[in-house]
Amino acid sequence: MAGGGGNVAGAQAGDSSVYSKLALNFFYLCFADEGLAVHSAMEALKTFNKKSVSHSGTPKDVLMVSELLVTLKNMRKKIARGKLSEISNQSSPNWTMESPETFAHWKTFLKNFDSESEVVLILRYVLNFSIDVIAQALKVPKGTVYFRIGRGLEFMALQERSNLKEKE
Amino acid sequence: MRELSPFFAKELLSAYLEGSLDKERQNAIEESLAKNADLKALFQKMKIQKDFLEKLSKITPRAELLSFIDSPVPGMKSKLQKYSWKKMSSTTQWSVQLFVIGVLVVTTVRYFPWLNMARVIQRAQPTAPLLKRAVPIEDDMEALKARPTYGPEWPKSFPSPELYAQQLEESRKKNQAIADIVTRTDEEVVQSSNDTEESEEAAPQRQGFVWRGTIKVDELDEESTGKITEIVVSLGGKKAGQVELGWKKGDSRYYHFTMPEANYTEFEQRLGDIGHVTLKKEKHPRVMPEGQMRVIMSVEASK
Repeated sequence: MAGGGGNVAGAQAGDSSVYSKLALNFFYLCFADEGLAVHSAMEALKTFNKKSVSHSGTPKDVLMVSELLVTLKNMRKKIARGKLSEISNQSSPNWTMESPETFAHWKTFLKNFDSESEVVLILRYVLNFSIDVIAQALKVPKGTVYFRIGRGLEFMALQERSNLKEKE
Repeated sequence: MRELSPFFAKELLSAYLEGSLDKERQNAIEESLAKNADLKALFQKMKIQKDFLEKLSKITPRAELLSFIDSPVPGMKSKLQKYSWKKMSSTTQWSVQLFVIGVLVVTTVRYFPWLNMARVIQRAQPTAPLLKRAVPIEDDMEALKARPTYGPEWPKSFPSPELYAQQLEESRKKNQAIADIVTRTDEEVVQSSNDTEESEEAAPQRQGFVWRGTIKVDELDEESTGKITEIVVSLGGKKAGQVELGWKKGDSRYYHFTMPEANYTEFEQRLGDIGHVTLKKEKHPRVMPEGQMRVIMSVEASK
């Protein structure tokens, strides 16, 4: 199960609502769109539930992250083809957040983010999956995960600086 | 350990931030951070962004949304299970089957291209429809009509069953004979119906003719046309076509008639007394009966 703190604190193995929460948050942070997040989370959870029975040897966290990534890829393709425009909903009455400004700030990053770094950062720091799990799910070495984290954080820092300059 | 290059130190910053470096490399990074102000500034910024992301992890979907996601999806599958065929009562199943069959029958009868199909069959077997046409169906229908049971109350106007069976057998033989006779194609039938009168009297392969021409008279009036009409009638001429003999057609008079061929010489002579006659014998698809000729001529004023 994903590491302690944040979204998945106190979760027990097999607790399906924890994975539901993870999936919802993951897609909500990727798309910043409630309709797309719910639709994608349902898709990912449906496949995850099926595979968790058939792929009993694979750790559930790895399976979950894999399904999140596969679904994200499929959804992005559908969005590019304009197939999901009718379910899009930019409002977020179904999510609570301590500071809405933080989310608004995140949205500004999303506009220019490199998708690989963005996904790794969400998985690691927001959803608290371990580096091992992320590396296994992405089927890349751990060093690559560290590299993507570093690149993502550096990008955010640079973006922050340019935002500040713009405000000035 | 050897001092890290700025590039390598930058690459290791994320791992250092994660606390996943071994002791030796951790020390090397800390040395680089102490010496390199830019690297230190970048590290600080990365740390801030990491804290920002951890703050973002406080985002939570509402309980209602979570319970909605976790509840079984009321999709098509569950609906299909609810209204599955096996769960229906036998009355409903029969009703649905009857309805489907009814719709299929009505649709087939209404929209199936029966006529086109019949035409295709007709083209493939040209004699088939002719058989239908030649055999009088009414004869059979008469035979099939319900009749009273034979007994004391048997009406005198009806034949006895034995006689009736005999008549029926004769009728069947007659119909069979008609069916056997009909071997002609459609075209032959159409041709024969159009030229019934001619075909009865004219011999096959005969060439048809028509006499066409004009009579120029000095003055085209009632008197001259009356005389011409009288000559035609007196020599056995009968009007052909739709209009009367001497029909007024613009400045001329129109004559279309049939006449015994034997009277033609006398006809020409008598017309010659009235005006200048020009008649030519032309070939024509219509074949006239033996001894008859057809004349189409117009009477015009010579000036």
